[in-house]
Amino acid sequence: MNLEGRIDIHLQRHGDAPTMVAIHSTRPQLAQKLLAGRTPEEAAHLAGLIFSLCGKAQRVATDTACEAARGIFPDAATSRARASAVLLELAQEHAWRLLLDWPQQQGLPPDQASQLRLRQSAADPARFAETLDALLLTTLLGEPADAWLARDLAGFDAWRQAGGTATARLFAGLGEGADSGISEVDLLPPLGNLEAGEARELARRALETPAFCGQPMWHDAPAETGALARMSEQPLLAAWIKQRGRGAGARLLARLLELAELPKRLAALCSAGGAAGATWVRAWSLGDNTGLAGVETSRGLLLHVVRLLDGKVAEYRIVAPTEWNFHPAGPLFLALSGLAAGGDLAARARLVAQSLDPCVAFAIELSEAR
Amino acid sequence: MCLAIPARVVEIKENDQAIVDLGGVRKDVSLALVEGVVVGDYVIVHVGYALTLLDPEEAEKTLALMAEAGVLA
Repeated sequence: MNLEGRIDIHLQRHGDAPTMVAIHSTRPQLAQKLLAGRTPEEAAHLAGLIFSLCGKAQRVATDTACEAARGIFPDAATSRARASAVLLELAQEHAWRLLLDWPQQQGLPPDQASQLRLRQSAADPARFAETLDALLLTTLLGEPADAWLARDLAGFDAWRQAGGTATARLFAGLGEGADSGISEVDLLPPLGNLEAGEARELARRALETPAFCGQPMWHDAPAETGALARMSEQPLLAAWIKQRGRGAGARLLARLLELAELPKRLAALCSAGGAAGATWVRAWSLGDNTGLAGVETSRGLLLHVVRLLDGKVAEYRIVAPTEWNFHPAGPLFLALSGLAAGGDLAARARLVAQSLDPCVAFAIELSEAR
Repeated sequence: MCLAIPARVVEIKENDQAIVDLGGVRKDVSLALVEGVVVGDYVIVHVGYALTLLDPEEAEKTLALMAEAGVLA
């Protein structure tokens, strides 16, 4: 049974270095099938029900896109509530990678108790921010988030070598040399920096060519999205990228940095009014009853495009982050193609794929080059 | 998992482990991230963990919708 599709990664190797990489996704494009003919309210409810990992983001995107199609934009309170729902979901996904997936991959026990505490506090943004702050202090960073965020690259290296938390020790395991799984494809701009013309062009291509949603392009080339794309100008991450490259370590660091900033961002969202939300949720009215919504999720930019006809969905497209990052010639392809020789190739490929975090299962198959 | 396909809990074992029925296929999952699950409940499963506990009526509706849209065979 394979209802939601999966990503198959085939590596041909010579010794312990890859000589050929092929990525094949069987993720179905369900938006049109599921949402056409529904009212905007039904569509939003369905989107929230059907997608498990990013249900909040999908629901917010559907609501926002359908409103934009009708020329309606949310008031400040609604914007804040939506951005906050999106951020809470994003934080839990980031935490999952750091507390459960990464340790398990390295044969270490996952920290289910911390993940459960976060989930339990998610009904209330203020309580969630407090819980996350405590988790950062005691479990992830071992020091106040502000102090940790102020570290430069040498300070970060000292933190991971001291190994005060399980997270620090995982980062120490990445070593001192060049990053692994480097990709030089363009980064998608963070949603807040996306220009109206660019947004309109993405929507146009998604509507005209449904296959674009399965293999999206940015200025006619693949691009990377995710915490790395959003955080690439943060000083510590920028220093890591400059010295070691933009690989799996950079992606994992971007996730931890973003998570460490989240309690403050949540507080800002509660106090600053609607404008702060535009970093996380944005919409464009495209005319002809067509709306576009963008939502930043843990895995990257999620786009919804909808065209309404007589108050119901006529066309619906979703461009999800996994399709950018696992594009057959995209970030994962380059990251795996450039893996240096040495060590367990399958394990290193898994770490790289996990750093790009597909929202479905993936399998790595190795074969010998002849 | 990306799609929130409701899975029915068919057996609860030791150490927060359980078996769920997901579209006719049995899978081992951990219950460490949900509370108060009993046999017969519907949950959403993601990489080996049961996540959200669903209202049974809502779960049946979701399954019917997914079947209607061709997601479930």
